[in-house]
Amino acid sequence: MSREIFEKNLKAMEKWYPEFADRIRVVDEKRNEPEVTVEAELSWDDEIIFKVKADERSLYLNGKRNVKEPLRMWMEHLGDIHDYAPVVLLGGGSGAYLKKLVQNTSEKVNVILYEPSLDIFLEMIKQVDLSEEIESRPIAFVVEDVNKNELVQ
Amino acid sequence: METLARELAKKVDLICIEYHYMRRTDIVERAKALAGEIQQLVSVLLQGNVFGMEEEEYNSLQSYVVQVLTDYTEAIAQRDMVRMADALEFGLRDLLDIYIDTDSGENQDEQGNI
Repeated sequence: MSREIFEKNLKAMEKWYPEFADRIRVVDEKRNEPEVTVEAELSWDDEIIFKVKADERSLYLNGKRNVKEPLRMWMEHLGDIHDYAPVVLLGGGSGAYLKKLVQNTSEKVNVILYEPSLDIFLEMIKQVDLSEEIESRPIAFVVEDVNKNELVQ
Repeated sequence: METLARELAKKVDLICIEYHYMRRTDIVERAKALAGEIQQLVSVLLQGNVFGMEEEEYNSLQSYVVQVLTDYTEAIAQRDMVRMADALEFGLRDLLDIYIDTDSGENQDEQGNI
């Protein structure tokens, strides 16, 4: 299932940036022991959530009980986003914020997702089907250890 | 107890609103400062069936209280802002509503996720 979702997401990425999708495949194959452990759980409101562990510390990237309400508040707080406006997401987590943003804004809104953890990014595209969102517009993914140099170019 | 619950509910709401809308990042520290009040209110729920609930319902409540307290203490230990916000807003808030609803006689059917 995880592989199926992974390929589906990469296939969607190929529509916009095939080189990036290929690079992700290579990075995934060659990667060593993950720096952080990412555990996927289901929240009480049936959303996939991530718990990340590194050394002695573990952190949730979404609420265990309610994922949807904080997302709704976040979108409300953002307000109307105009066409061609750039929106930068710092950290992709389980993809819930990316999904919400894409589903609630015009295709002309430019979405950039910077993910500082390759482990979390790979887990996101393996666990969560984002193919519809990725196909809908060219989301700029900038991932540590993959293409972070694009941020400064 | 109702007064204490209402005061605590106001503090919790403020902390959560400022976390979500003003991006305040000290939610764990602010929540930790409420430990005494939380303990006072929540411990009553674990000491006995003070609201005269059905046994099964009371067992569920006890289990819910333990889950909330576990998340609250773990969020402090791990300095986990997301877990703390969730525990306060969608866990503790439900428990406070029991006091508020019961004492005021309003909305007795609304007990959140319990």
